[in-house]
Order: sequence, then C-alpha cells, then structure tokens
Amino acid sequence: MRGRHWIGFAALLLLAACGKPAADKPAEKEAEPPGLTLKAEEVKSLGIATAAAQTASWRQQISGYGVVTALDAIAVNDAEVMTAQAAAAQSQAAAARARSLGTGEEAAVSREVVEAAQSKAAADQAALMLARRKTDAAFGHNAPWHDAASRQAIMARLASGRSVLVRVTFPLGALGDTLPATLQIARLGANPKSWTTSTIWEAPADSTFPGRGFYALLDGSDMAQNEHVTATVPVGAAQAGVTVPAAALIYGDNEAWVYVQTQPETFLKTRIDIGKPLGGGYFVAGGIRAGQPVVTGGAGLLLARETNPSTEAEE
Amino acid sequence: MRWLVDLCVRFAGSIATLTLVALALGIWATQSAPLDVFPEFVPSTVDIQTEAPGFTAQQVEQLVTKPIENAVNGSPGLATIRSESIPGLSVITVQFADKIDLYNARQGIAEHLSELGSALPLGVDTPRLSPLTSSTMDLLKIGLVSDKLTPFELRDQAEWVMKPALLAVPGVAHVLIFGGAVREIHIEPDLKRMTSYGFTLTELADAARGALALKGAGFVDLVHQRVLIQTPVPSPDTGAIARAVLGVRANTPVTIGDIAKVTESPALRSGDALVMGRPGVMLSLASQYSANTMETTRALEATLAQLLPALKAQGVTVYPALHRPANFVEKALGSLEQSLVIAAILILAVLYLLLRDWRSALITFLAIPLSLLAAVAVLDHMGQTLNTMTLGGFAVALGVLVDDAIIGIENTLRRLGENAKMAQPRSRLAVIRDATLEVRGPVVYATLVVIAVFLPELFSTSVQGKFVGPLALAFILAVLASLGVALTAAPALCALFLKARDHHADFGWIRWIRAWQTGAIDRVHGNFRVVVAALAVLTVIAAASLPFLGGSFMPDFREGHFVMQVSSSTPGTSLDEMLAVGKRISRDVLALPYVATIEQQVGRAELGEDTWGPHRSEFHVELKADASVDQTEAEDALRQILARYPGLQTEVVTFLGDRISESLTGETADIAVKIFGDQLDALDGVAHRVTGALSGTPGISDLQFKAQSGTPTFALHLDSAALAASGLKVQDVLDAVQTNYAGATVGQTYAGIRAVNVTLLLPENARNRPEFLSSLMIASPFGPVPLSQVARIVPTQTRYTVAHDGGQRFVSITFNVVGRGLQATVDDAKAKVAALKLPPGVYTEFSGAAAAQTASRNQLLLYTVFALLLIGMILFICFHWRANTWLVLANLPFSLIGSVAAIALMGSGLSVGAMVGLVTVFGVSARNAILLLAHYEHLVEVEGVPWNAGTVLRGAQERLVPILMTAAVTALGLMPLAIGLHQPGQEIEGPMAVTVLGGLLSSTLLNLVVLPALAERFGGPKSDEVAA
Repeated sequence: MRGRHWIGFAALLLLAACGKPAADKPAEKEAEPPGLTLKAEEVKSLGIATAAAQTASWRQQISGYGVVTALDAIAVNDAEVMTAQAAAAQSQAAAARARSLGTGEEAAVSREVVEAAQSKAAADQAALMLARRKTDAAFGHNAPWHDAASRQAIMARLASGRSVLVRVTFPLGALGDTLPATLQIARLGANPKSWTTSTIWEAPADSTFPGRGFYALLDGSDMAQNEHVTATVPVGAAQAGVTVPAAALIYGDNEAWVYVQTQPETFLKTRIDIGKPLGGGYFVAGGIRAGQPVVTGGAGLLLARETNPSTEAEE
Repeated sequence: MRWLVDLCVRFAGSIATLTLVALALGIWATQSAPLDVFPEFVPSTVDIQTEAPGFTAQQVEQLVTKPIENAVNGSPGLATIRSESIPGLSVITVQFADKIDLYNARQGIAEHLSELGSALPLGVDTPRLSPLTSSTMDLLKIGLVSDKLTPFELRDQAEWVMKPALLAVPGVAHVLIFGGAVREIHIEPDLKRMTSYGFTLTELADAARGALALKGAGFVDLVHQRVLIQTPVPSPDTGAIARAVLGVRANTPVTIGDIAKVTESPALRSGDALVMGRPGVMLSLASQYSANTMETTRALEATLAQLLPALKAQGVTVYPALHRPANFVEKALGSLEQSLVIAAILILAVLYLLLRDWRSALITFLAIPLSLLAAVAVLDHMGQTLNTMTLGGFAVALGVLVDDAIIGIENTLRRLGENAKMAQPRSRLAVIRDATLEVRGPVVYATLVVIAVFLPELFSTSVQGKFVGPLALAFILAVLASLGVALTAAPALCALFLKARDHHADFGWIRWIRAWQTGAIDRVHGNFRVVVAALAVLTVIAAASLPFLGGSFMPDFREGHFVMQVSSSTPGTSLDEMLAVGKRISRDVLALPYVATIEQQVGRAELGEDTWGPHRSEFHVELKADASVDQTEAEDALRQILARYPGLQTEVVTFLGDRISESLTGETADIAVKIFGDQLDALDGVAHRVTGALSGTPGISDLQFKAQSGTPTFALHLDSAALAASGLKVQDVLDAVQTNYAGATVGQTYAGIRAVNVTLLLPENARNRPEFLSSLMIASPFGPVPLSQVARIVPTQTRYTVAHDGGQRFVSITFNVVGRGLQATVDDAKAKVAALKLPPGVYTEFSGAAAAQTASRNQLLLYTVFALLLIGMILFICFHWRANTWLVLANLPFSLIGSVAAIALMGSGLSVGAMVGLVTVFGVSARNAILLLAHYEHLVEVEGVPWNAGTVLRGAQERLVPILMTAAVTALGLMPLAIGLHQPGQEIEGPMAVTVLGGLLSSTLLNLVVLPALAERFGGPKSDEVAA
C-alpha cells in the first residue's frame, strides 16, 4: 500500500510538472480602480479642470437678523427708571420721617401727614415698579442691569458708544429652547465685519420683530444706531474636513456629487452634503482628502459618460 | 388636327413670327422664373408655442399641452399633430393636409385657440402661432464676433440694428438670435438686508413698478393753441431706480438701493452661440412659406451689405454665410445649366450628323427650347419654381421632345424626297401637311401613354411624391408643349425652310446599321425561342434584383455643408459645459483644411421653434467653396472628431437630409423607432432594451435614445400644516420662489427705441447655490420663514421632454443607415425589436425613410395599376390590331434589363432618381414600340402593303433612323448629367440619367431587333381586323 502511495504522489508531481509554468499563465486581469476611467485623449477632449480640496473645519451655524437699538430708546427708558427710583427713594424717606415724627404721645405731625407721606411713598414705589416693568417689557427680564451699579456701568458704556445693544431675531423654531452661549454679529454688506459676544439674554416678544428674539451687548464695535445686522449662532462641535469648490457640484441619482480625480484618467463620483456650505464651496467631512484634485470643469460630461456608457468615445 | 396643321402650313410666315415671339417670351419668363433647390417638400405646418415659466415638463404636458391639443384637434385641414412639452414651454406642431388653403387653416387653429379661454392655468402665457415657414426653412445664418464690443453691445447690434432691417426684407419669416447678452436691469434684493428691514418681495416689486410708472398725460387747450403735456419715460438708469423709495423705517426713508443691488445684467439665458469657436452672436433667418430662396437671399445680402460698413467700423467681424442654402441652389442649378448647355451642343451636332442638313437640324433643335420654354412659362404661372426636380423633368423629357420633332421632320424630308421623284409631284405644302399628319396620330397616342406612365408620380402624396410630383408635372408640360410645337411651329418652319433637295441619302454607317439590323432580325427570328427565353430570364433576374439594389430613396446631398447634432447624453448639462466642449470641437473642426466656417448654437432662442434644453446643441459646418474633398470623406472626418468626445450623443447629417428626415419622422435621423404607451418610465425601460437590441446591427449608425429622464430637479413638497402655522398661502411660497429664481418683470425702461426689461430676481451668487433654496425667506404675517420650514426640498429627477404624437405619449430611438440598404437594415431592426417582450399597453412603430419608402411604394403601386389600365385603354384606342397592344405591354419589362444593370454598376442603389429613370425608360420604350407598330398598321392599311416578313423588315428599317436619333439625342442630352453623377446638385438627376442611359441601350436594341421579330410572329392584322 505504501508503495502505491508513492506512485500516486509521483504521478501528481509529474502532472504538476506537465502543467503550464506559472510565468506562461495569463496574468490575472488587474482589478480596475473604482470610478470612471477614460483614455488620456478623452480627458484632454473633455477639457477636465481640477482644483485641490482645501483643509477646513466646520461648525453648524444658525442665522438671524438684528438691528442696533437706538440709544434714545434706552436712555428714555433708563431716565424713566432713574426718575421713578429717585422719586420712590425720596418719598420712602419722607414717609419714614413722617412715620417717626407722627408716632407716640408727642407726635410732631398729624396722622394725616403721615398717611399722606406713606401714600406718596407707595405711589412712587408703584411708579418705579411700572418703570422697571416697562424696561423689562422693552429689554427683557434677564437684562444685566437690575442692580444699579451694573446698570450705571452699562449705561455709561452705551452712552459713550463703547458698547451697543443689538436686538437679534431668529426664525421660529430654528434654535429650539436653548439660549445661545455666544452670538456672532456681522455687519450687512459686501464687506461684512463681525464681532462676538456672550452677553445675551432673551428679548420679549415683539410683533414688529417676529421670531425668537435676543438682546446682546456688543463691545468694541463701530456699529451705528439702527444699523441692520445679521447674527449667527454656532451649534454643535466643530468638525475637521475639507472644502470642495461650488463649481465641482453636480446632481445625479437624486444626490449631490463631486468627481474626485483618483488617478490621472480615473474619476470617482463622491457624494457630498450641500447642507454644509463654507465660503465658496462645501464642507466635506470624509471621503475626500485635503489636496485631492476635484473636477471643476467637464464634470457634467463625466456624469453623462458615466450615466450613459454607450456614449463612450469610439476607437 | 388637320385644319390646324393646314393653317400653320399656309400661314407659315405668321406662325414662324409668332414662334419667335413665343421664344422671346419664354426666354424672358425663364429669366424671371423663381429658382429654388427643391419644391416645397415639407408638409405645411404651424407651431403653437406656449410659455409656461417655472413649470416642469410633465406639468406643462398636463396643464398646457393637453388642453391645447384637445382644443385644436378637429380643426379643418389638420393632418397630424405632434407636441413636445419641456420645462417652461409647450410646442405643438400641427401639420396640415395637402392642397388646402393654408392661411384659412391657420386661421382655424387661431380661432380654436381663442376659444381655449381660461382652460390654461394662471401664469401661463397666451399660446402663440408661428408664421408659416418654407420647407428648407433656413435662409441664412449670420455670425458676429467682436474683440471691441461687449456681449451686450454685440447683442444690441443684432437685436436693434440688424434684426429690424433683415425682417423688413420680403420673404423673411423670422430672425432668431442666439448668443451675446440680452440687456436687462436686475433688481437683486439682498434678502438678509430686506428681511432685517422688514420688507417683502411684493413691496419691493411694487416700489419698482411705481418707480417705472409710465403714463400718458393730456394737454392744455389755449385759445389759439393746444399744448401737449409730456410725461417722463423711464430711462435705463440704474441709479434712478436704486434711489426710488421703498418705505419708511425709524422715520427714515428706505430706498430700493438700500436693500437691493440695481444693476445692468444679462437676461437669463435659454440658449447661446459660438461663432468660429468664439463667443458671439448668431442670427438665424427663416424664409416664409413659398418665399423664393434665391430672391430672398439676394435681397437679404443687399440689406446686409448696407449694414456691414457700420458694423465693421465698430470692430464687429461679420460672417455673412455660416449657412447659406442658396449656395447649393447656385451650385446645383449651375452644374445643371452647364450640363444642359453641353447637351444642347451635342444634340445639335448629332442632329446634323443624322439629318445631314443644317436647316432641318435647326428646325428639329428649335422645337426643344420652344417646348421647354413654353413649359417653364406654364410652370411659373402655376406657382412652381425652377428647381432641380423640375429641371430633371425637362431633362428626362428631352428624349420625347427630340423624338416629336425628329419623327415629323424626318418623315417630311422623306416624303418630300419621294414626292420630288414622282412624275407629277404634289404641292410642297400639301406634302408637308400630309407628312406631318401621317405620323401625328401615333405620336399623340404615344405621348398620352408616356404621360400616363408619369401620372402615378404626379398624384403621389408622400414626401417623396412632393419631390417627384413637380418632376412629373414638368415632364408632362414639356411633352404636351412639344406636341403643340410639333403640330404648329414645326410644320410651319418646314414649310418655310425645307425643300425636296434637303433629303439626303443616308450615311454609310446608317446603311451598315440597316444591314446589321436585317441580319439581327433574321437571327432573332431563327433563334426566336432562345432569344425570348434569354430575355425573359434576364428580365426576371433584373426584376428580382431590384429589392437587393439597396440605397436610400432620398440620396445624400452634396451640399458642402454639414449639421452636427451634439447633445450631452443626460439632460441637465449646463449651457456653459456645452459651450466649453463646443469650443474644443470647433477648434478641431476648423483644423480640417477644407472647413470654411463653423458655428454652434446651444439650447434655444427666444420664440424659436426648437424645444432644446441647454444640453442640446447644433453645429453648422460650411466647407470651403473650392474644397475638393469628397463629401463622404469630410463627413467621416467630422464623425471621427466627435468620436473623441465621450458623454456626447452625436449625429452628422447634411442640412437637406436633416430637413427631409425631420419632415418624415419629426426627428433628424433617417429612422425613428417610436415607442408608444401611457407610463413614461415603462417607455424609457423599453427604449433602453430596444437600444440594446439594435446596437451592433449592421448598417445602423448614430443609434441614439435621447434619454429625457434624468433632469436634475429640486422638487418642493409643501407642508400644509407648516404653511397654516406660518400664516402662509401656497401662492405666497410659489410667488417668492418664482420671483427669486425665474425672475419677475416689473417694468421696462427705454433708451431711444430700445426697450430694456427691469426684472426682480435673486443675485446670481445666491441663485446658483442650491443650498440657498432651503434658506430662502418667505415673508409671512409672523415674520420671515425659511422655505425649508414650510416645504420639503427633495432632489429628484424629472423628464426634460414629454412628446406626443397624435396626442399619445411616446419616446423615440433614432438611427441613420450607413453602408447598407435601408430596407434590409430596417427589416433586421424590426425583427430584433419584435423579439422583445413588451409590457402591456406599449407598442412600437418604425417611421422615417424606410416607412415612407414603403408607403410611397404601395401608393405608387396602386397608381401604377391605374396607369397601366389607362395605358391599355389608350393602346386599344390607338391600334387597329389588338395584338399590337399586347406587344407593347409585353415589350415593356424587357427594357428593365439595361436600367437595372446600370443601377447595379452605378452602385447608388434604387434612389428616387433611379426610380424616375426606370419610369422614363418605360415611357420611351413604349413610345418607340407604339410608333413602330403604328407604322406597320400604316404600311398595311394606308399604303396597302401585305403583312409579311418583308413588311416587318421595311417598317423596322424605316423606323431605324428616328429610333436611333431619339436614342442618340436622349443619350447625349443625359450624358453630361450621367458624367456629373457626383456633382453637387445632381444627386437625383445623375442616377436618373445613368438609369435612363442603361435602359435606353437595352430598349433601343429591343425595339430595333426583337420587337420586329415579335411583331412578325404575333403581330399583324387578324382576319376581322383586316375587314375593319
């Protein structure tokens, strides 16, 4: 039996030796790179142009509109509160004095005078409350000027022009219930300048500014009273990725794509999200590396060629 | 007839004078006769164009096209109705039946449209009827490029300087302008700024309308005068518009300029153009229905010549003939004219050689121009142009014309000679009159038979019939005129100029032929069965080979001009992308040494009849006039260039071929496979399968399924709950989207006679960023709401076009046939399509050249049966011997042998020219047979000669010279056409001439040798006929 095994093994070896040498075997078809591969001549004919994807980071932002509140509105409000406050303080003191003078056996003032002083104090207090409520109604409950010192400081900054008070409005539902931690306020126009602030509070509802409103104190800006501005609120964490030029964008199969040149004659259709516009292009978080060439000229015909392969150029 | 001939002979001088007057009038009529390349071959059509801005193709189909189709269906004179619905536009093409009053029919359509009333949705423009245009439609394409002028200025020159001047030229139907930049004033709101100020688009539009208000005023009536009050007309001053007040905020006036950029900008483009590969402006001029191409082109060029100096002075380079169909008319008619002059000289020479007398040769020759000029005058009176087809009819009539003249004059000469030898000669005039009348009877019948042969072509209603009909008409008119000349002018001229001594003895070579004929008839008689069997076999082979000769019914015209249809294979490709690739294609084409000019038109022009999206374009390539390149070679070179560009669907056609195919199929290719059904997706699926099945079929070239689906689209799905919560109506959202993206015209400004539209729309940098759509702010009672809050924006794909034929949805696959017979290729294609299993309710239909060829052939066959019956009746009336009728009919098929051999040798297949040639050969052969057999009857019945072999031989020999002369003159007349087979403009006449020459050879031999043998065996009078 053992001898038969050897014979079998030898026969197998012989058969293997009779087979074609490995070098003679047809080389296995090289796996084609993914994407659309054209001939060099076709790439030239189509006038393919590319631009390199640029490194970028992106953070979602929500936009709103705003206007720099006029100083007179703030000043009038402040003056009303201050006047009411002074009147209330003075009548409070007068009422206290009247009470001490009109108390006991040796009352120096009549009961009638005391009651009048108390009544005046109560009325002035009510006037102060009203002035404060008017302020709250105009600038919100959470305005950072409820104590006199801060109020004075803020008013001094506003009066000097070092700070401006901006009322911003965001579309309903755009921000949810959260109070933004920071706001970026930008000037409108061809060359917008922007400033960031974290002094933000909820503004009361106003039919002339529909939407969800906030007041923001902005330091160091050169914005003028009644100036119209835009406001943006960054949402979520910043992402790292690349930008692709807007000129690269194509639509096919109900999706947005760009063609990435993976090899000199190979173009890979790569899906992007146009919901992340950034500068003159779109932010792409993955799938495209920084520096990779993205097709900006001829992409329409590349798509046509890929969609309808029968239009392949003839030999 | 006797009195007429008698009168002409007696008053020969007067008749000769009248003849000269008629000749002069004929020449004058010819000089002023309108020239054209072809007769009107496209069925008369009008287009109904309806703009429906912002609607998708399917919406246009449902909301616009279908109601209009329903409204105009049933209009008087309507033959077919086709339509295309594309985004924002519905185009319905109504084709009228033949022989109706087109203007009334067009009026009928207009009345039906006016009854449409409110059936169309709001926002859809009033349907507009296009003018009636001519068959070839294109009149001239003019290109403008400039390094000095801006695209605005270049377009202004075209729009406001050139267009009015060119439209004023009689015969011009419309001037379409592609390219440049249409001047507009755009009010482009900064939506952030506008929203922050709390203004809405409606307020902005109202403010702009207010700023552009235009009202007339009245006048002040003084005691002695009336003084007018003039109000200001808005000027195109962007600053003035920007300064217009929009409203007041914080006690401060806010102007339009505070929240919007007011700028002079190009209008949104639906098309563009490249001239010589450079951005430029292209004017495409079309001719009115029945306007004459040559006259209108010349008038246009005269107008253009007046405009050129001013244009050049401004630094505009003008390409005045990027496409000039008149070039082909000139080339075609020029080469035909040349052929006819050569033919005339050759005919005169051969007449002299055969008649050996200048006077008789000249009288015979004169009969030809007289007949032709009379026919031209009648044609002109009937409103027909002198075109390659009518001239072709004259060319094929030459044989009959010459025969008419020769028979009379030859007989007159012979009789005069015989009379001179008589002891008591009769009067010369009596001999001339009797000799004329002797041959007229059979000639009249023979002419009627020839006319009957051409009747099927005259009455054919197919597109091919529209080509061949005028040819048949010209032929019939020429033949009738010739008959008139032979009965009037010819005997009068004979009476004036011919003497008995003018009859000369035959040339030696004619005597030699007579001797050969005697021997040949004897040999045929001796081997009668073999000869007849051989002829029968050859005839059967010839008839059987007809279907295998291949070729297209309509030939490829060597116009020196090509049209390259170049489209992206997916709809949605942008104008700029197509222009970019167009630049490179133009560069490659201009590198060919024989190309003179190239232009590309992309998309469609305003008010243009094409329903082309930005992904479709057309190049017109004009070859240099002196280019010696073969047309096929040039076409191949263009195909090779286009083949280097992937992603494009391309087709190279000649302009006339393109127009003919378009009139047959509605497509520009030879063949269209139309797939009908209700479900568009199912149609697309079937179309892809059919394209796959047809791919690789031998002969099929330029196979295309122009996919209509796949146009990228953002579909807005409005959320009714969100709309209600925001206090918005659907219309608020749609108005905002339309104004921002399609633009809303809010007024016009005027600079002199130039009107400039003022349009409110989104700035380009926002409009062209798709993400902006979702953040587009819609003004609501509760403040601005982004579009994404009230609508879901879904990227999807829609169709670019929805096409109807006869009110039914269809998609079409087109192809051209190259290097193989049309019918065989189509048969193969049909078999492949038939093998596919189609979904229920879906069916296919082949239309185009092959279908038209079959329809035309069937109609021709039916008419031919009637014509044969008519011919039989004429022959029965003509002949006293019944056998002669059968002999003529039996002899006809034999003439096929030479024609088929000639067509096979020529290799151009069974084209329209070859078919006309075949018909002509039948006519000439029948005519010769009739005259020979009628001569036998004359010999036996009039001259009392007994019917025997000697009489047969004598009759044949007496007819030898006329038959030979007819054959020789016809052959020489057609020879220049046959030699110029590959000349431009002789695509129809060339093959016709070759076919006639081949047929003439076989039919002459048969008439000289075989027919006498047949007559000897089967002919002669029967006993009852002798008694009669």
